[in-house]
Amino acid sequence: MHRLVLLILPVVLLLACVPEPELDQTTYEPKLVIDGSIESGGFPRVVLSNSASYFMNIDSANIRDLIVSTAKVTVSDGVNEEILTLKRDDNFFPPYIYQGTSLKGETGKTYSLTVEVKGKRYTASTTIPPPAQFDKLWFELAPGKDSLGYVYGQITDDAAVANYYRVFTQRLNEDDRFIPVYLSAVGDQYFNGQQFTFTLLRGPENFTNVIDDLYFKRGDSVRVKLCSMDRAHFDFWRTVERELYVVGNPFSSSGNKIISNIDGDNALGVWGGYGVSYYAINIK
Amino acid sequence: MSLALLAQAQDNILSGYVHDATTGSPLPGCTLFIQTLNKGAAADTAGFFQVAVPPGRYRVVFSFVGYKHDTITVSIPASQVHRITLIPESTTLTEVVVADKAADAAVTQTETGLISLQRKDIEKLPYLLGEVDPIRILQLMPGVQTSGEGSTGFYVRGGAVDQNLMLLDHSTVYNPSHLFGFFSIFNGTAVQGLDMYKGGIPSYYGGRLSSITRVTTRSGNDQELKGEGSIGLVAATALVEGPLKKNKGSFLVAARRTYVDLFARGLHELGVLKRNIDYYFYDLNVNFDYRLSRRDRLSVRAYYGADDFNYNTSSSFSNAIAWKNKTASVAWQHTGDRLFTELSVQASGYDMGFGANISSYAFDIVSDINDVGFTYQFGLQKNKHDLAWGLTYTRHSLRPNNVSASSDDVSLNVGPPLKLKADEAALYFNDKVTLSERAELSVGVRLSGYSQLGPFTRYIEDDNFQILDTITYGKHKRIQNYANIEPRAALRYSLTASSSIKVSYDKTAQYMHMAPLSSVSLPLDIWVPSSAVIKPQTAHQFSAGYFRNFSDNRIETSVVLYYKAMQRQIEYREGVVIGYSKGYNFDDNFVFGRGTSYGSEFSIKKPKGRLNGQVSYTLSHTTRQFDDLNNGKPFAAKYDRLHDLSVLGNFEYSPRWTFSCVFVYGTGNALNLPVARYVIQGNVINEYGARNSFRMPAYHRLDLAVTYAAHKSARWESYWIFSIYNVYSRKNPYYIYFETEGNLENLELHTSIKQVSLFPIIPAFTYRVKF
Repeated sequence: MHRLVLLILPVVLLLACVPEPELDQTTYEPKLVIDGSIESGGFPRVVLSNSASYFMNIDSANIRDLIVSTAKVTVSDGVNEEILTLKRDDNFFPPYIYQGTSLKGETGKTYSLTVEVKGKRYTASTTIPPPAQFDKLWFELAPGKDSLGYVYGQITDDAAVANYYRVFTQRLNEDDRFIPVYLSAVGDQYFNGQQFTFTLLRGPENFTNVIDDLYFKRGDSVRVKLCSMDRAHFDFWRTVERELYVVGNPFSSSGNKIISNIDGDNALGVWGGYGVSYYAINIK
Repeated sequence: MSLALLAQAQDNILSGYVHDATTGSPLPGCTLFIQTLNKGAAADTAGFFQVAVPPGRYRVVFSFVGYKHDTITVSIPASQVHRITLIPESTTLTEVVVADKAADAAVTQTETGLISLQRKDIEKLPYLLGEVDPIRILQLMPGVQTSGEGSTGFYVRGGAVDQNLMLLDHSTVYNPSHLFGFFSIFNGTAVQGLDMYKGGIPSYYGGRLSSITRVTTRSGNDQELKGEGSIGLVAATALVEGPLKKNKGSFLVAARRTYVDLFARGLHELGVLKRNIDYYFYDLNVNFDYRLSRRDRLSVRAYYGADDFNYNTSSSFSNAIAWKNKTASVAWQHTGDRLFTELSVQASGYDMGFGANISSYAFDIVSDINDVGFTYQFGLQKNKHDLAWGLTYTRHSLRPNNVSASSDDVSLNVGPPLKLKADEAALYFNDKVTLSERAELSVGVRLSGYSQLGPFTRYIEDDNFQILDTITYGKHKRIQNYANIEPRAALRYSLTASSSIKVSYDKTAQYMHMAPLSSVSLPLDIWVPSSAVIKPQTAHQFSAGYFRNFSDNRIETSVVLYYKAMQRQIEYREGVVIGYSKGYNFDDNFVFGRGTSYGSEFSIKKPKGRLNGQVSYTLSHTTRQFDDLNNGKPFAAKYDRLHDLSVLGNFEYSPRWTFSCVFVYGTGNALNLPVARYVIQGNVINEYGARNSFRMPAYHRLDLAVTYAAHKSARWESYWIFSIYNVYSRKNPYYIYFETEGNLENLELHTSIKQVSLFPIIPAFTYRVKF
């Protein structure tokens, strides 16, 4: 249904555009952005950065202002605690990751995060719910296409609890990481206790460079990661994706608050636990 | 009270209709005066007048600007309803902006917030593409703000667009727009006039919080067959009227159609136009009037209009939007010895369809609203009292945003179709009483009630969007009832013959709502009924004004202050996209809060003379406060407008040449834009600041028009109208958004603000002929 946006926009864009209007600019105080996660069976990883005013153009000269590499990042499961270490990763922006090496995520546990930087302290807490399983995973050609199609995955939802899912895919030799599918965060409110089929529409690597085809194709070897999340973690991704789809769309209601689970002054982002299951499908 | 009434029971009623002698059209606002009693009255929109007088023989003078006076002698008690005809003064036969009321009406009418316009006020001004549009002139009045370029919607004293009731004769119009709002559905040639109440609203009007606008179409000429036509840049209009039976009955048929699509098709085929413009609208008004007897009149009004837009970029992609308005009413007016009654039965419908196809994927959104109802109104004049009472009932049927989608032949499950039903009714009583020579009080009360009706299914959800329970209501079951007592009062106190003070209080309630989804006003905005979740909106408004006329009523000035508190205002939740975000219940996507508006309206008007016009300035502030928006803190309403200035002027240079101009200036709309952005997993995400903390650039525009009377004779008249819309080609903002370019991998990100503007300078020619 995200296609709606693409479909409606041309109607409005029929109308002429003019160059930049003048808007009153307000001063903006940057906030700390936390992008942290812990998966079942994995080490915690946290990326820190600063937000930037909309009126600041980012280039190689000032991009360092966005990078936070002097923080003390601690993860605890209530019994054990680890201070994460900073590693450089030039494939990514920001090019630094705080990673753990001893504390591994376990299903059913609660993990707290503490970030201390420039005399300020930020905290968050998340749980790793039990992973979900696909009953089956298959590929179907899109109507009228001879090599392009979608991957489908069927799950049986647990009726006893509220479940929140997130799905990623990675094409071997093509994607250097798991990329969330379109509308990757889904709650079971529409299918609680029922069988549900996810249509995995291949997502873009990022939304500044949106691809126009959602297909997988014959010959792709696709790894699929099915995650379960708690409510606060889900709310963050649900609201982020909503914002990514609707931004600039005159057919959406204005304002879009992204729900963060970080406590502390002037902080944005998420600290989220994933219960994960991995699958692979070779499309022939 | 009974004693007082008995004491005056010897009074009798002098009543009748006053018409233009040449066309048979009623003359609303025409005044009558009985010198010996020092008593007068004015005709209503149907040209009907009545006045209570003791038995005797009187000379009654009828006068109306632009017409010769007429004097009749009557004996009271009179058994008949009089029919008065006035002959137009030949020198001012055409195209003078006539005052529609007594010369001192601005000072002496008790209704503080009544704006009354007649056809001749409307015809002269410059219009977008030359299309005469009564709503455009309404938007120039003090306290009325246009909701922006390309919109027939307007904001009255800080009220939302849906808080304005639009009546076409007796029927409600839910979306009075053509061409995405660039024109209104009211065909200028068929319109007789319009009345708008923005304060001091009499209790016989209700159902909306902020204003009531009634557009009346005129009755046909009952003397001879007449016609009128115009050809403009975008549309052609034709009107035919004539007697069904002379002096007894008349008909009027007016039609209008745009023909851009016809040209565009040809140009597209010739290769001049890259893309075909497959758009048109049309509308049709059909009116019948018949005098059943000297005391009984029947009028029938019907309107049908539609817009149809198709957009194809390629064979695999297409988009279509269509919407339709239809209204109909039958009204029977009976003039008894004392009592005036009007029974009307009315219906109205609005439907909108939006469809899109991309390769094999298709979806449709359909919304509609249909009303049927009746109104029975009584009027009685008793010496110092002018009483009106009655009841009205409407059955609403709605289908808000029914979405269907399909991929090839497979239809996708997007929920069951939804049909909602509701009853709305009101009982009202109003008395306009002359307290003294200086003071007049209009006081009334409206008892309004509402029921949402089954069949209906309500889903009860918890915070995690899990369905806890489902409640099913059967057919005709009253699911939710609401009632409101709406007192209204307006007092006028004359300080001198040319100055007065007026104060008013209005309580209003509204049971049908429309929340605008985005900053752009679109036909996609839907109406929803009150329910257990959506409670009726209510408002309290206080206003007070000082009115002063100068130079023997040649110049009218006023200053009006108002304060309005609005409860249970409706907005969409954040991040809702039509057809994309749908809760289980139709009312899941809304949030509710309070609104406050206060301001002052200044107006200087010169209604008559070769040079005439009006300057209106409104200084106001409008805020909203919602628990679920902006962290519960107050924020500026989208249409909070500190300054709003309108200037309109006409100059009759010679009988052949008339010049007119319109200038508008308004503070830019408050706007919600991101203040900052951040990166999460390679995605750039926007952070929004305080809601509506940005302002669009100010809106201003100058329009000019020249009318040349090419031919004027008793048989026919013709005019050339040359108009220029947006003379200095101001690029007014229609829509503003941010666009981000670049890539984080290359360590570059550039953001630009984009503005969409609609109309540059647009000159237009129109040729109009009357015969």
